[in-house]
Amino acid sequence: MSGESAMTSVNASVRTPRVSGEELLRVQHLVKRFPVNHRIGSRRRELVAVDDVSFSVSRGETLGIVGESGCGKSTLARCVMGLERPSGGAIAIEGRDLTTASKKTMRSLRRDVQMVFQDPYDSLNPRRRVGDIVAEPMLVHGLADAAGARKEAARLFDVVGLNPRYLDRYPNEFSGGQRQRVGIARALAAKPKILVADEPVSALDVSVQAQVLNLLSALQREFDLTYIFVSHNIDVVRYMSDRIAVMYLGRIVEMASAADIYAAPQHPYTVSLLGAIPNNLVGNGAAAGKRRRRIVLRGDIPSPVDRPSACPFEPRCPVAQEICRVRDPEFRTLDDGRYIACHFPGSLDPFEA
Amino acid sequence: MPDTMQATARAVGADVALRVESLTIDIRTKSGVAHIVQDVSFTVAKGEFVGIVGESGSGKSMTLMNLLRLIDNPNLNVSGHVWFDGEDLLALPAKRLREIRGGKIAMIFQDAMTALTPVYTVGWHIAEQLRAHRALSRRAARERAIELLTEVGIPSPELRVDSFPHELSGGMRQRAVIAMALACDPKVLLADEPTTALDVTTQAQILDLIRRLRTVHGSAVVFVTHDIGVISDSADSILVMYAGRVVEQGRTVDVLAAPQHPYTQGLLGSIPTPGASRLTSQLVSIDGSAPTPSEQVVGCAFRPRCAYAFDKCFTVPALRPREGQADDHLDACWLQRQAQMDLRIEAGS
Repeated sequence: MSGESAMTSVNASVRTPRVSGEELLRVQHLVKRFPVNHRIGSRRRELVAVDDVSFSVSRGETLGIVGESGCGKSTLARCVMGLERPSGGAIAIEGRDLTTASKKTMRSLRRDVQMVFQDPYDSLNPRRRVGDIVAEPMLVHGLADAAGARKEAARLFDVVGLNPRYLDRYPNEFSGGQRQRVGIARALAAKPKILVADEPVSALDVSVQAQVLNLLSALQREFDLTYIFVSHNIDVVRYMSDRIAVMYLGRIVEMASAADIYAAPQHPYTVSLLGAIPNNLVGNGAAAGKRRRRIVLRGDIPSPVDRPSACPFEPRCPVAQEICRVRDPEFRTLDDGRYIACHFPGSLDPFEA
Repeated sequence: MPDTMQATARAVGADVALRVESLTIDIRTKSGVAHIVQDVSFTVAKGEFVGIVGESGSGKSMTLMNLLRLIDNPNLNVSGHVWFDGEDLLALPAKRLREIRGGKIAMIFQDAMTALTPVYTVGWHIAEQLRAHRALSRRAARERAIELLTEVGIPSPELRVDSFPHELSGGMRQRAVIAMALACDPKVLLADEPTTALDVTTQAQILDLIRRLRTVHGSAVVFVTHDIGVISDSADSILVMYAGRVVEQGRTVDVLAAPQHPYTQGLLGSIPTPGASRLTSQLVSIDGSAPTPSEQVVGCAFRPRCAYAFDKCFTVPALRPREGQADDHLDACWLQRQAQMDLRIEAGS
């Protein structure tokens, strides 16, 4: 299948323009490197966790970030949160640059972005009452006095589906799903513009995951929130997102509307990721009459310390050619508005003939 | 037990690899007896792939571990039968059981790192199986180990045979553990969430490997997972466990096409199907969370979370086939049986 014929099916797919279009977050050429002490005596090495990543997020939109372990998705989320200082590039929220902000601006920027963490057991202080945990962001940011914060915490408990009578309980008295609700209430307490959710349901039991995903969807509708939803599970990311960025080894390799990513993935890695889902439940999201091709990649993800010099996916790519070993593909826009970093987009057919 | 003789006769049937009968596991704790697994029965045909699906605390791993009596705890009380080759593994003397463990029934675990001893090489681990069960010489065992590493797709096996576990990636480690398990050509392979700790593309590699080996070696597979999607295209039949009991079992196609138990329905509805979006479909969420083994629920354990619960549900429902469904598709739910029940009582009185 040529790239061209794959593209036609892209144009035919449905788009859901429900987002305002007003840009809220812009990330430009973001780089995050970590020093690595490889072995005593050897030269200092660097791990490039995020490598030249650019994207923007509109108000009310959900941008999903999907990738496997070591792809840099969590580091990216932490940079946007201001938890990691980027090694290069810029992160701007409503035009204010986070990387060069003064302490005071930083504080208000931190309020604008709040995070829901993966592990609801580790992200709540076991020695504090959940009511205090939820009230703290309001006190820190001066949004309310102690009495007001408690009243608001009770309201937030109600919003996330917890009984406000539980405010004085400790985290260990709650189940995993309930703790994640506490974490969401805490994130909402700062009245953020952007909510970064890093694998928010991965630690939860399957039957509880749906509760949290439904809650996040409902909250977004109700409070007009903007989400960055990070997960290794592409089905969950697709469910929650308007647009999806697929990451591999620190790069965004493909970014497009969620519907396009499923209907006509162009990057061989996206195709492989979708083809790796061992899911027979409903035809694996393929269009009627088509069956998604099962693709088993060879080898493992290379270590971010020993990155391939050209295209990062080349050593595992089923359709790699000579140029892929020599020249790093640029991150460019295709005619249909999707971004891709591949010399031969659309050359791996996602569906069985 | 009166039906033991009959069961034995059935268990040695030519096409049965493993037959579990009324497996029940209790744990004595300070606060009383906790029922971890209750009355679990299933048959694994030769070469069959059986999936056991359940959430944490459902008893799925305890079921699997106790098939080989792998948990040695004086507070654990295991009853029932596990028939293999005409013998009841639960009644077998320790010495005889040792011959079966690893020799005829092998097991792979979720965390390959803890399944390997960090101070020994990969080759040593595989050779140990061969030396214990096949009495191979050191050299022959090493050669066979290299063959096995090749078979499970480890690149440059003649070098990797001397690698230590920490020198391998997660996917490679799981392959090494699978090579260990295959060393003695087992009739049954027990797998406890072997892909859960792995990345999606690595998971696909391992599932592919297990399926291929099953074809080559003809081993039956019992695969425990929390993710029904993982086994949806590999398993021939599925058992759905909830709070220590099997609530539904049958051929995978039947269970996925027409789940009968409200828990199975909820479980399938709670995962986003590939391509589904929050804009067009809402996930079915099951309220609350599963009971812990120490919480005793009267009647059906799913009752407190079940949207359809009614007075009948205060009695534990038995696993039975349902009218209009395949004979081997069983579920334990009272729903829509009320009318039938009433008729039966009338007829009996």
